[in-house]
Amino acid sequence: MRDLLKRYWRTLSTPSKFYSLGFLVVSGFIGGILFWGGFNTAMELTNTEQFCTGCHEMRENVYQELQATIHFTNRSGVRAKCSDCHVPKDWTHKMARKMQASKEVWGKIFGSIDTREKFLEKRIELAQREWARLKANDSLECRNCHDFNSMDLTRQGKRAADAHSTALEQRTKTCIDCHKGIAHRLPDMTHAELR
Amino acid sequence: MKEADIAATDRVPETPADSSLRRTEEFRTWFFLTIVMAPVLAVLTVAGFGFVVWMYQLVAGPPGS
Repeated sequence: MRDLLKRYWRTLSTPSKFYSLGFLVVSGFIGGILFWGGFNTAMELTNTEQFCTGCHEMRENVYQELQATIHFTNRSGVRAKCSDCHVPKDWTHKMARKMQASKEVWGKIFGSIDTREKFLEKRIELAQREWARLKANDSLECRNCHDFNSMDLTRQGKRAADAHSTALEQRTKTCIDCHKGIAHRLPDMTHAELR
Repeated sequence: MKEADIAATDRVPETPADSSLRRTEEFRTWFFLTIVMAPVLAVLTVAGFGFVVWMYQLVAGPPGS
């Protein structure tokens, strides 16, 4: 074993005798391109709705609720999928989110929310985590589609126009402060922490 | 040691059997590095980076706060 390792280390650390420098560089380059493409494709795959709803925790709970909302069913045919709101677009934060998902895999394996009851019990915790995230980033994922500067306040209801022209414009409030429970049902709010 | 001797100890033996072994070793080394080690290291690096950012966010709060 030691000899074997020694021999391969020697092969590794001395110039190749049978493979040209050209071949080695080009194969490394092509390998890099293939890897990068494959990596991004795999990343894209984990952002699809099929992937998210591949486990029944998502499919039977949050995905069912989403389908009744305007973010899923509407006259214009534009709709939000899971990752539009729940996965940051910025690369660093996206990778961090993908790693956080390892905890969701853990939860899936050990059945943390494998029944509706467990989900309902946990949902205030889950929701508050997302609300805190959206509040901290000034509702970035809302604003990826909804642009305040493009809003025609005259076409909004009076209550909405009043709120948008004051609190939202002055940035004292952000989207999620008022628009909780628009894409999924609200949790039982009796135990919600007031912020 | 004379110069010729130093060169001799460095030289890869030239018998056909040695040569074919060396060829196999070079191919296996190339294959392992390109197909296995580089991709695995790259994925581990990105995963490790994501993990560190996650841990940082646990302490510092979600991004933007």
